[in-house]
Amino acid sequence: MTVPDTKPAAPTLRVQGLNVRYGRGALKAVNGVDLTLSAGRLGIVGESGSGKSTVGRALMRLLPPSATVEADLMELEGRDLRKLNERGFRKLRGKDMALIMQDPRYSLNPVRSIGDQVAEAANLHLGLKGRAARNAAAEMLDRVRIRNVASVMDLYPHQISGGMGQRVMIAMMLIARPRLVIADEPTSALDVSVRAEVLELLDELVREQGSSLILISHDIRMVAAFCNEVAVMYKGRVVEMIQDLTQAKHIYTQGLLSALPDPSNPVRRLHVPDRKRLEQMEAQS
Amino acid sequence: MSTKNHAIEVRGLDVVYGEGEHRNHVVRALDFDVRRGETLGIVGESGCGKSTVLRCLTGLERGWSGEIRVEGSPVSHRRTQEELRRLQLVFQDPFASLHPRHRIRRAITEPLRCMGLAVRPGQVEDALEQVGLPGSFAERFPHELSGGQRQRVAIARALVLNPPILLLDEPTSALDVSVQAEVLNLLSDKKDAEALTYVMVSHDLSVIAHMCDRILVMKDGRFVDEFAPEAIAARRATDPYAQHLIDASFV
Ligand SMILES: Nc1ncnc2c1ncn2[C@@H]1O[C@H](COP(=O)(O)OP(=O)(O)OP(=O)(O)O)[C@@H](O)[C@H]1O
Ligand SMILES: Nc1ncnc2c1ncn2[C@@H]1O[C@H](COP(=O)(O)OP(=O)(O)OP(=O)(O)O)[C@@H](O)[C@H]1O
Ligand SMILES: [Mg+2]
Ligand SMILES: [Mg+2]
Repeated sequence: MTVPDTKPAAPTLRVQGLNVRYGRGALKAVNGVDLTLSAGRLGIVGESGSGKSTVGRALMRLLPPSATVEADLMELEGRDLRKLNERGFRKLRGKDMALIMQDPRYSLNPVRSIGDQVAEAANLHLGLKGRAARNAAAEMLDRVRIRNVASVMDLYPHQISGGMGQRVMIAMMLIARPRLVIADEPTSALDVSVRAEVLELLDELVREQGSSLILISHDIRMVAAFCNEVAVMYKGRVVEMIQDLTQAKHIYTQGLLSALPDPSNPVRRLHVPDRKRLEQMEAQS
Repeated sequence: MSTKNHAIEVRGLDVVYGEGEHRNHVVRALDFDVRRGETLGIVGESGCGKSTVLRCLTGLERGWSGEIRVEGSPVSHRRTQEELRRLQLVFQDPFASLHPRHRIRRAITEPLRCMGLAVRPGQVEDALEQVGLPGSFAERFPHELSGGQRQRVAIARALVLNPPILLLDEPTSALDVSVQAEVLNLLSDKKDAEALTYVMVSHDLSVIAHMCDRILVMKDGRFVDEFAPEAIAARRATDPYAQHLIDASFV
């Protein structure tokens, strides 16, 4: 899964100087982030609250009205996203650019069956109707390895497990075959064997269609193994870009690596990052 | 049953959802004990019934049959307040467990108010700081927090009643590794100080190996294997499914 994509292509996504602020807070949730992505897989890791989801939602223009977004450049396949009006964005969302959200059950409609919701995605993006839409939905649910697809399609979001919810979300997104998929913690509720398959499925899509994937996750080992490049975020900034873990230089990234529990080296308490030192470094920069 | 050393005893636990062609036998005649002061891990593939078992233990799931004892006393489908207090659950999905229109202060004090207990001044701030969040987050709404911050609120809320038994459903799956380390250390320290009993469900076998004294492997509603954390390090299990889980964890 670590084969780098060598062929240089025009970037799918170009972002420069992205800033996001919530409310009138002086603190920037995202602070001067630059990202460039060609066909392939870009990972974003970083601690909780560092702004990873905010970057994803800013690209999709799905932030709440309280958020202010500024960017020097924000382009999807050459189109200036900043100039697009809400109608244009609605067309783009789902079709060209899809976001798999961190909280699957929250983003599914609680009062509609799973089957109806996935079939609606097939209707919306593939123009399929009735039986044909349901068949496409069933096929996609099967691809994300939902078992007993026919009965699961009749269930409501509260009746499925956490991991099933995540896969349903993924199925809904993949149906449209978008150019850019932003997957925000797409596998955090999945067990390891299903996780590998879901990642392979995402990877397949990316390769088949030459599209791009942004994988947001706190699982730094998984992201580094899966992505061509990894952006490490800390307090709203990208502190370094790495191709593999051995390159990690920033003390924050090194701190992340040493905080991982290691079964072959049991300890009573885990190593936690030295926040004081990080704050000092920040004050200096 | 020799009950005094057991925080939880379960015999013949069964859960069936749906009827006819939709009948889904999710939990199948489970027998297990959790010793006092132990951390028991439960692992198994998505949909195998782990969260359902935890929901039966806390009393959230009413449609079970079998026998459940908590600290020696049998519990029924309807729980007394004291029975509810003793077992607190940290939910897998922090969004589902926090009311979107209630401030964090209200979320954290809710269990106290349900039990008719008074809220001490500063208690909410202390509870937040204990899980590494600033006390000022008390005035925020859930959507104003990141995923990991919400999960820490959920843990703070579960701890506010000082329960002797804590059920943790994927408590760190929404957290980055540094906060995960902080939360796991917090749970270990709490346990050392107060001899708590934990039941922990996680997909992350490194987390399970780090936290648990004993690990049960669940498949299709049954336990198929049991091992010690050392087996994960040695990557050796007896059941082939358990072996598959271990192998898949270390790609
Ligand atoms: N609607 C909002 N209003 C105010 N602040 C917000 C809002 N949404 C997020 N924030 C804040 O912005 C910061 C970045 O949040 P974000 O959700 O992007 O983090 P994240 O890196 O995705 O974290 P996690 O790994 O926990 O999901 C956090 O400090 C959070 O509290
Ligand atoms: N209220 C319900 N009504 C019908 N079926 C349900 C209900 N709750 C759970 N189920 C079904 O029970 C099975 C087990 O679900 P459970 O949530 O216990 O799985 P899990 O092992 O926790 O999975 P995950 O690791 O994905 O969280 C699933 O097939 C699910 O669809
Ligand atoms: Mg997030
Ligand atoms: Mg579950």
